[in-house]
Amino acid sequence: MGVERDPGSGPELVAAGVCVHFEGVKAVDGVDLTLRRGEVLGLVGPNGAGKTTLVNSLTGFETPTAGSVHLGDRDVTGMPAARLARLGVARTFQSGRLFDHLTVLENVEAAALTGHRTRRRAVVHATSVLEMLELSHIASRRARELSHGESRNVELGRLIATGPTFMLLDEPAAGLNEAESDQLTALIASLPERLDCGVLIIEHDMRVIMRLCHRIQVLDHGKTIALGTPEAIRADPVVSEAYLGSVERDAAS
Amino acid sequence: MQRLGTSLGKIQTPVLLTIVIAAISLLAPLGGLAMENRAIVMLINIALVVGLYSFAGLSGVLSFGHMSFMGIGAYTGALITIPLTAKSALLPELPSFIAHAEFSFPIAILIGGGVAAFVALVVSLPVARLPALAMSLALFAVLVIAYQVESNWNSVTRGRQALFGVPTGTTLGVALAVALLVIFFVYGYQESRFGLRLRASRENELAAAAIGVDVVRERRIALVLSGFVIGVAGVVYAQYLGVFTPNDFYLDVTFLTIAMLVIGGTRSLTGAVIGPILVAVLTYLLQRGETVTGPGLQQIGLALAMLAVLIFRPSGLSLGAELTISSLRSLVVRGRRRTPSAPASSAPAQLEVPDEN
Repeated sequence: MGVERDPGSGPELVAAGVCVHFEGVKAVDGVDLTLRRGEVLGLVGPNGAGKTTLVNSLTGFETPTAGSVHLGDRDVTGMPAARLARLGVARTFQSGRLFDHLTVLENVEAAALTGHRTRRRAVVHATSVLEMLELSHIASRRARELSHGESRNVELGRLIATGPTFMLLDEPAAGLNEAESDQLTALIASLPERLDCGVLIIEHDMRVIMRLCHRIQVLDHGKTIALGTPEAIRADPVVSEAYLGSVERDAAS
Repeated sequence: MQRLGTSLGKIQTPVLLTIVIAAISLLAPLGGLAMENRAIVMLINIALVVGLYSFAGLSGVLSFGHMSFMGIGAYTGALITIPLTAKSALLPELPSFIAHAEFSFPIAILIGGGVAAFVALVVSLPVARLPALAMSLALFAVLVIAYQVESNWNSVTRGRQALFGVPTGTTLGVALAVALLVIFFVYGYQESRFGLRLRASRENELAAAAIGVDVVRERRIALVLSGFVIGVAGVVYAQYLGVFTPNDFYLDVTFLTIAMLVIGGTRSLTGAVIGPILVAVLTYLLQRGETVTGPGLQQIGLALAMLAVLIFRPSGLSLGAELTISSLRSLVVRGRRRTPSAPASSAPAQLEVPDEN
């Protein structure tokens, strides 16, 4: 990956030769990945390609069997998730994992405590995050009472409230209707500049991916099979064979 | 009424609970000495269950071992308050620093709580790292160890024989004051940043880790604070009984306090307070029934009540909600709406979740 570095953009999140093996299954098999501040990187591939496992190992939820993860100069391989989150590497989950019995504000506040030492300051920060996401009107609702679309937005708000340098989103638009998905896409697109962070997004909806990403990395069977701009990926015959073709056929049928 | 709720703000839950408990405590002496004693036991149970709640309720990790801290508090408090002459006759082989210690009741409460908290801290070093279910069982192992130490450390605890001569300083007023202080203390913790992080980890451990919550650390803090609260309750209980054995801090009280918390609802402070109140009423009725049926009815009745709650109302009678002005109001409104058609025959004092605020 001989792309020139922008010295002004700060540290990168870098995975080198990451392997995650489960009892003989090579879920991730020697993947290199670089996430830069200011960009949106798409991570795509067919089901079982190892996308979520790779995100798990980048965020401390899975210790790589081999390979390393660096945050800037710092080796963070196998560091616990909570510490990584406090260092600015935070993620959302594929399935909704809100704090069901807490209010929306408390959900976001708990995350805001990562960067703010008192609850009073955390409330102020959480309130401003909810305002930014236009979620203020549901602040006092309990998380379990939310619609699916609202939950996904609150999850994103909770992530933003931790003040991340790198955000890893695992299928944030799953289950959303087209309008909700468009709204979320626009929001995510604005994040790198607004928060000076890098965003990695796993997404099956190629419409979202193509619109959103500066670069796309394609995984298949635990290995990187392509990496490049949306245009290059769209034109890549290997990719359309492994993934895109089948998706487009599915969509057409 | 709404305006009152707003101006009281976040503190309204402990204030309302105070009103309820204080009212019971004021009325109880009218029923004679027996009723007054029941009220004292109820207040101590509230302190115990609120202490248990501060760990198990807020963290979601059920503990079968917290009454070990009650025993530690009770023995510590007793050993440093029994008058010196009585103590040298009762426990001649006591280590000298305890043999010559005689403190006032309030100091003994703090020391008893402090020793229990220290033991909780030591326990937490390995135990807080365990996954939730393993932690529940590990805490049970701690209870067994505490019980065996109390039962066999003859020179200090008199072993299985009763320890007596403990000053009976626990009046209704003392029990009320301690219960209220415990309620405000635990509510403050629940609403603090530590309490919020712990509750987040209860709702979803992985998601909590993902936003930077150190779950082990938060559980450790809860274990130490709950150890302190339950240790305090232990001192107060010992000074109510005056005479006790290790059995007073073992399986019976463990089951009793867990049943109270489950019946009230593990997910709110309100549940931890109304559980002991309802069980006090239930116990009173069952004990009267026992004069007809013979012994055992009380335990069976309590166990059935817990089963019924687990099956029909798993989040407890509080439904996980806190007592607030607006929840009271919606309760009254619902009650009025219900009365003409069907008389209120359901379980007592259900607190509905207020959605409007």
